[in-house]
Amino acid sequence: MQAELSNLKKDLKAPIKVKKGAVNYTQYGPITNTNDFKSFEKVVDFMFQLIKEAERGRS
Amino acid sequence: MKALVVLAVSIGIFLLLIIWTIKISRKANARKLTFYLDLARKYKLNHSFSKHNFTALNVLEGMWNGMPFIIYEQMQGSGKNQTLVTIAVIEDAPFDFDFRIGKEHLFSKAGKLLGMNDIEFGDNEFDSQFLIKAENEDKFRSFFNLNAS
Repeated sequence: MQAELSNLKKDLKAPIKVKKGAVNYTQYGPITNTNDFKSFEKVVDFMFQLIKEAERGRS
Repeated sequence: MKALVVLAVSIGIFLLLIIWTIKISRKANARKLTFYLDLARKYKLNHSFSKHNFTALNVLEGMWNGMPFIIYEQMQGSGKNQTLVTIAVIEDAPFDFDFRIGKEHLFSKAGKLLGMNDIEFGDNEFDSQFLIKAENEDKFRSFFNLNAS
């Protein structure tokens, strides 16, 4: 996970917050170009990965 | 006569500005729509949108692995301080502790000085780039180490 997070160095524009079981990412400012869209998508994929790993840890 | 010309030119400039704003907004909205429709297909979500002045606010809703999942755009603030934010939320995730993963910046360093807790990984490069805070440090370390193995 540390390596995956390191790959998000340029993409993570705001913190990923986990509170009461809700995983939240709030990016301020409009997303207007392809690179920003791709960055947002990468962060969402990382959020999924966090959840998958948590599920794996529970099983 | 001169006043009329000035008035006509002013109205013309104003109308041109509005037309230009509408064109720019339409282009931006079209770009965003392409992106949101791609995401909707990728994650199998339903797409809808509303309008705020000239800005389209997209919403993607659905489920991911049995968990409610939504990505939406929202205007926050008021007047000149209004800004568009894009939010992704997955609910009912299997975490029984709160945490936050962000990047290190000037203010986060100040936060550390004020005694806020953060988790260091003993990797200077990583620790200098990311700021991780967890309500329960042991649980987070266990989660992260488990995943690292």
